[in-house]
Amino acid sequence: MLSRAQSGDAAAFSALVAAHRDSALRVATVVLGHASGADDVVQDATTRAWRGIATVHGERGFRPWYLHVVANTARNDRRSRHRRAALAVRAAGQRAGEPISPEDAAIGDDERRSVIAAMNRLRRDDRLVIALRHFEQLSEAEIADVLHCPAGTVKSRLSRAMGRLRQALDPELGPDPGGARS
Amino acid sequence: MTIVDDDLARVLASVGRHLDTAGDTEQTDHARRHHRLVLVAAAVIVAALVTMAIAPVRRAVADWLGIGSTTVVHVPADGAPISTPVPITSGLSQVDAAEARQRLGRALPDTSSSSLGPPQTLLAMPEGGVLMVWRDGASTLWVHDADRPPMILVKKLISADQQARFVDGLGDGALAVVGDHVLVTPHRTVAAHTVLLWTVGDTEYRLESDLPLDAMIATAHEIR
Repeated sequence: MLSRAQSGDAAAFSALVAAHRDSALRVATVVLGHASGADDVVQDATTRAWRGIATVHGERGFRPWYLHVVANTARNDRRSRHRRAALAVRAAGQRAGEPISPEDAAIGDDERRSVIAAMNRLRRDDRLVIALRHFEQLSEAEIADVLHCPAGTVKSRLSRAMGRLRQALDPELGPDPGGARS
Repeated sequence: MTIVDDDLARVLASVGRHLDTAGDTEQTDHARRHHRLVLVAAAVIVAALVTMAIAPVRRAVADWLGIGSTTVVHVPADGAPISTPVPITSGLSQVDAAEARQRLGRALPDTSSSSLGPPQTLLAMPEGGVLMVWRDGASTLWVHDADRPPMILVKKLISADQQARFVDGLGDGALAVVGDHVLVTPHRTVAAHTVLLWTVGDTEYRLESDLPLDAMIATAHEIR
């Protein structure tokens, strides 16, 4: 599929992108700090990805590379500046036709809202590394590809970000972890 | 609310599945987004058709109006004014062959067997790459990296009565812009005449000359 897209097959490229559209929207939303404009960012990133598809190496490299393009596009978007993060979660079953998995059924809306509220208090880079690991279930090596940093750095960044998230969830554990919010 | 560590990863995964994104929440914009996606899909299809039309295309990704890192933009006669353009060689520093090779990361193209002959001088381009100059600037060849995604390096602004067309059989894909136009880069606005753009692998070439286009294409084929 990737080699077809790299030779100019638009249908193959569209299929590649469509398979990762939900991930791209989540990454854009997390980096922007809000849902508004995420679809515009993904659209812009997709156009850029089409221009640069020739540089991707290996079928499994596409997803991290595409998410890297999305994250960079979102970082550079004016809507990512000067606004406090306001990520939100849908209530379970809010989306028509969405099945509720046993895993999700065992978790209450209140728990999800508490966690997203805590994430809103984190810095953008902390939100992103947590989202890549836990929302997108990427491996540390894949996260390193998205962030363009060594895998060892991912481990420490993720560890620190999770520590700050725990503090945000339970302020008694320590001071406000937000620091420079974005 | 306290969530114990063991549960946090599980809750985070669930948060990811329930995260509000623009695609979920802005139902009133659904039709607008759908329309935009259709336009993007159409643009991608047009790009593919253009790409197929300039076979063989290997690594050159042709834009709907452009090639490599260059995009062609038609500007109507009553469009926004463009800042005063400067000659492409204006203010550039001269480099020797070794420095030029270092900037490019590869050897300069061999023009000795072409009608251009060896270049008169070599200049460092602020946008990247090297400008080879002949006849005091009457002919120039800008060689630079075409593989710098995800960004647009250059935009060309031309009036509607000027022609941009793809050229078959040159490199991985080639495009000619005939007539005077303006070249806008992230660094400056440049006055430009007829140009021939083509890519070979990771390298983009931009030949500008006062020669007829057919002669420019013949010259481009002679460059190794």
